Amino acid sequence: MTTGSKTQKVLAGMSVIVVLVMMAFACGYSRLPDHSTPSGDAQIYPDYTAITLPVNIAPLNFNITVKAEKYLVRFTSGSGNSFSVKSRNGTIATPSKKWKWLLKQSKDSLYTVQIHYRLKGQWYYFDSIVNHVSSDVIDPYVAYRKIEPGYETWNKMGIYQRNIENFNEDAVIVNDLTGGNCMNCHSFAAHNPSNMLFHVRAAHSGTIICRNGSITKVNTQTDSTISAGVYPAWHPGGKYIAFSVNHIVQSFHALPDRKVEVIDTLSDLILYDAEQNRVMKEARLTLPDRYETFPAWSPDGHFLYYCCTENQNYRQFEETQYNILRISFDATSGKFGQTDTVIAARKNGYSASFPRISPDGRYLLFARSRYGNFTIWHGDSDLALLNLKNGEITDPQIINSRQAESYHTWSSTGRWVVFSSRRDDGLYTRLYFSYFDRDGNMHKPFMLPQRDPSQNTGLLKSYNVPEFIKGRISVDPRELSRIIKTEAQQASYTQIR
Amino acid sequence: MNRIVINTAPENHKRLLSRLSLYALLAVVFALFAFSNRYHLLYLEQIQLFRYNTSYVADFFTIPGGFINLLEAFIVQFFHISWLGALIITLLCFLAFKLTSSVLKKSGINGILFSLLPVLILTALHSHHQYNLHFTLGYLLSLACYIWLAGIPRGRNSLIAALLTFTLLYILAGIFAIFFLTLYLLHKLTCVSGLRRYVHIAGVLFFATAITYTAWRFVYLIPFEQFLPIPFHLLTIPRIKILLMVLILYYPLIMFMIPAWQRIFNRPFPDASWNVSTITTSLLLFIALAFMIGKHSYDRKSELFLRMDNQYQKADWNGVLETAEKYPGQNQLVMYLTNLALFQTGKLSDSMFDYPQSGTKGLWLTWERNETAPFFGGEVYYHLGYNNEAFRWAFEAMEVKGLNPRSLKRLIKTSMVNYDYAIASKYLNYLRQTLFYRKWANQYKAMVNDTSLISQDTELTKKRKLLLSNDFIAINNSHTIGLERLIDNHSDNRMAFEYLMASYLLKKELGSFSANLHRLENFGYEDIPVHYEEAILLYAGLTGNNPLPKGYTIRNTTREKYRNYARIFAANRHNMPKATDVLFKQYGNTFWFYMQFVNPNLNQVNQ
Repeated sequence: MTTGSKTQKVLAGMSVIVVLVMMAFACGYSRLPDHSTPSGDAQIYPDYTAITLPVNIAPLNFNITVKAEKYLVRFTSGSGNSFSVKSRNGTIATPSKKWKWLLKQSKDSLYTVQIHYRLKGQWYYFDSIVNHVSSDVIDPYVAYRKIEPGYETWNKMGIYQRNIENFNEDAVIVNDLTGGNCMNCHSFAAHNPSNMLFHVRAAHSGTIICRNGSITKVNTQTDSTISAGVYPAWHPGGKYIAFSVNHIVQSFHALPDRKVEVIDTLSDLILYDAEQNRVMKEARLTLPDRYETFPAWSPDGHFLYYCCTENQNYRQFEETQYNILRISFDATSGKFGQTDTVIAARKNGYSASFPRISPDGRYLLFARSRYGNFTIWHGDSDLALLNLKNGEITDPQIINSRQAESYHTWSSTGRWVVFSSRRDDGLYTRLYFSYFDRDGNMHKPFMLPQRDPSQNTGLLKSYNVPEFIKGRISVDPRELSRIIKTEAQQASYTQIR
Repeated sequence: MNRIVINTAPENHKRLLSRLSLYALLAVVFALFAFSNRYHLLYLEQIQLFRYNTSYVADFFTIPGGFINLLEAFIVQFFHISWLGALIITLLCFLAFKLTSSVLKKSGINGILFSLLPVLILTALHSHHQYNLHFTLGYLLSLACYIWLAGIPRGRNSLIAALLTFTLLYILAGIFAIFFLTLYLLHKLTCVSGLRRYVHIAGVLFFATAITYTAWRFVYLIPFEQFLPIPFHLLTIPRIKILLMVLILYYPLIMFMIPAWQRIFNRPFPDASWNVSTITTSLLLFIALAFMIGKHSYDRKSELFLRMDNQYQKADWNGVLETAEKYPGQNQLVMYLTNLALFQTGKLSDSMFDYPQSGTKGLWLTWERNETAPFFGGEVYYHLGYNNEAFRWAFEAMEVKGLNPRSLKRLIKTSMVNYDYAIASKYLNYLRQTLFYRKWANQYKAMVNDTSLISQDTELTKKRKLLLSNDFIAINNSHTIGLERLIDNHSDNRMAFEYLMASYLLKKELGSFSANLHRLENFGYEDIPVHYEEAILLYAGLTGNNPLPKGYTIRNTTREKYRNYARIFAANRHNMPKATDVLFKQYGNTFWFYMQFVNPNLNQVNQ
């Protein structure tokens, strides 16, 4: 045999191998190892096991936390078709097209994930992961603020919108554009991305209101109110916004498992008329011997829910427990009616905060902790669910952890809940989504997926105030920054009679 | 353009002289940074964190000029070894010299004098601890681009190259692209003839404006007012601003001056190569500039403080005290580090008045939302065992200064003391991505992975013993820092006790001081510390009550000193300036003198 023919054979052989490899990649299919040893529960981060996910979610990329030489993961749809993803570093990033195909194939059924890894030449596998795909779609965007979970200072922060059907994240506004000031409390009217507000603090302070295509900057601070508007709740009709007005102090704990205490030393609720640029005060929401805060409208706009407690010396902050009350409201006349207590938390030895009513008006989700209202700094804060029809309060253990769960929002359909949790490391909040089924049960939550799953552990910022929105916010950040730098329009003041 | 070459000495002698002069100057620059600016370089390294991580690198490109910031962070990490930092700055100065020579040659100027001027300006700039290296990098990069582009022959290629270079330079170095553009257009105006050059210039200007506007409108999220001057908008120190402007304007000025000179005087520009007149001029210039550097750029006080800080970090307590003695005048941070060192050497309660004191602000720093207070202020809490506060101040320091090794190390240690391993691990991963802190981080990572190893770490074990079990809250800038509560939690927290007593002395609260003397026995003091004796004698003298705890006596030497102090004071009571003067000389290091003559609010001796 000549050298030339040998070379030709080698080349031909290599070509066949290359073609086979390419075909394997093209099909996304790799043979599973013939001999593999079981090694228990799947060790992955984030925990994407035994969850229910929406059919329109971005790929749930994850890291396999066992060190190995090689990883092979087989995804099998509800209809029995499968594809594989290989990795050498343990990061499993599913291609978007395959992921969408998998979810479509598994709609209202299950898909399985088989994880194999090779260690010292020997293959092992974890117990299969079985996840449920719900045909109930999730709102495509979630808006949040990213900020270091600092104490008093801040550096870079911004309000962002994340398309949760993919990995695109856009800045709505960042403080680089506005002189490095603080910005917070973004809120939307009925999940509508066109009706948005947020506050700007320090330099250029004011409230930015995007409403029906126009953007205004207003100053809601008046001589008759404690402060400018703080925690907002936009009436579903779009005309009114309820704000708390607060005087807040921060102090710092000495014990290892406690860090910050955020305490109201004064607080009331005000109603802001966005059409008239007018602040209104209602006597029953500004009682001198009570603190009222954290307003939330019922989806039909007939009730304003809020937290309320008796005022006391702030040094006794550990004895301050908030009830949840509601007051009826007539949007036509702009007048409030009767108040009643919805959750008598104090009587039962706890404090209730952040009331949020489900879009069908049947449930109230709130944060429960031993005391206080700023529960993100309370490790014992859990989410609890009140059935507004029968008054029963349940503790959905499946969504809670040993760390703080706090700010939470219903999706526009009411089938999904997003909340922030410190469960990962006790300090940096991450977003978790939970399915809420038609029987009123929460399902095991899953973390906001990222293109690089290790971003969740590496990022030195918290995600806070997650709000579902039904579409993309289209305002240009540069335009927002231009308006932020203008003079705020002073709101007028009226006492509601 | 005519080249100006006048041979007044043999060429090789001239070259040798030039080289020797250059090397001598560079040697001086190196020595200046290696010895006189050593701690300032070490400090610069302490306030950045270059990480070998792709997302970290990618973040730099979100603003125009991010590349020079990235390059700065990369270079400054080597300042960890101070002589290497000095060498790098010297090399950058050398590069500035070479590039300037090249630029000037293109304008027809030879000789090294004009090329040495930028070296001196750069030396002055780098002597200031608030000057950022990225300015130097942007300036050098622009010069290099200009030299490259000016070498391209005329024609379409030259135009395309200019447009591409401007765009690239804008991305890499921000506003320095305008500096480059100015040089380039001046070169076109002065070195190229023909009407087409104006078309060329107009085209380049139009494109530069368009690219800048497009970048602002569609690419970068930066306010317009910062967008144009970036990174010059960061310059806040007037002297740095002026010097940098002189450096930047030097080139266009000289490029404009040469043809103007030739046109006005109708003769070549004077030779700048070595001869008697240039050597004399150079010497005078160098002396003037050296004076300028010493007077306006070099900050001896800052260097001394940064030296103290460096010694503090190495736990060289005696070194801290030695440096404190050399520090002229009063400085809150110096007092703060001095008192920490005094406690560590067991001298706080015996010798604190040997050093300047001014109320409690020398014991702990007042909370301020600036770059200084959080960065240094958390140290006292760490030593006191007030772990949550040490974590908080380090966290705030990381906020205001950005990621830096020092704050991260403190966050890691305090998290580990608090059993917050997930948080410690998060911060450790950042340090593991660095060159100089990887080893340290791996050592602590091993402890996080196997927490039983923590018991072998004496520092962490000691801090854990001081962990608090009874909660209390801190509010910024309240008049105390919870020292009593620390003692209530741990009756053996000697530092908390000595700081508490020192705070009473410095606040002149003798009643509170006396009320806490009973604790001496709990802490196992065999003798009463000297300043406590002084305070006891004074309190007894003023109130008639003797607060001396049972089982303790006052040394005779202290009693004798007290009698003598009282005698001198009584003798001069009608002439207070004299009393102050005499007592300061003999008893300026006593509590009596502090009590009677020092007003902590005024930071000076009362008259």
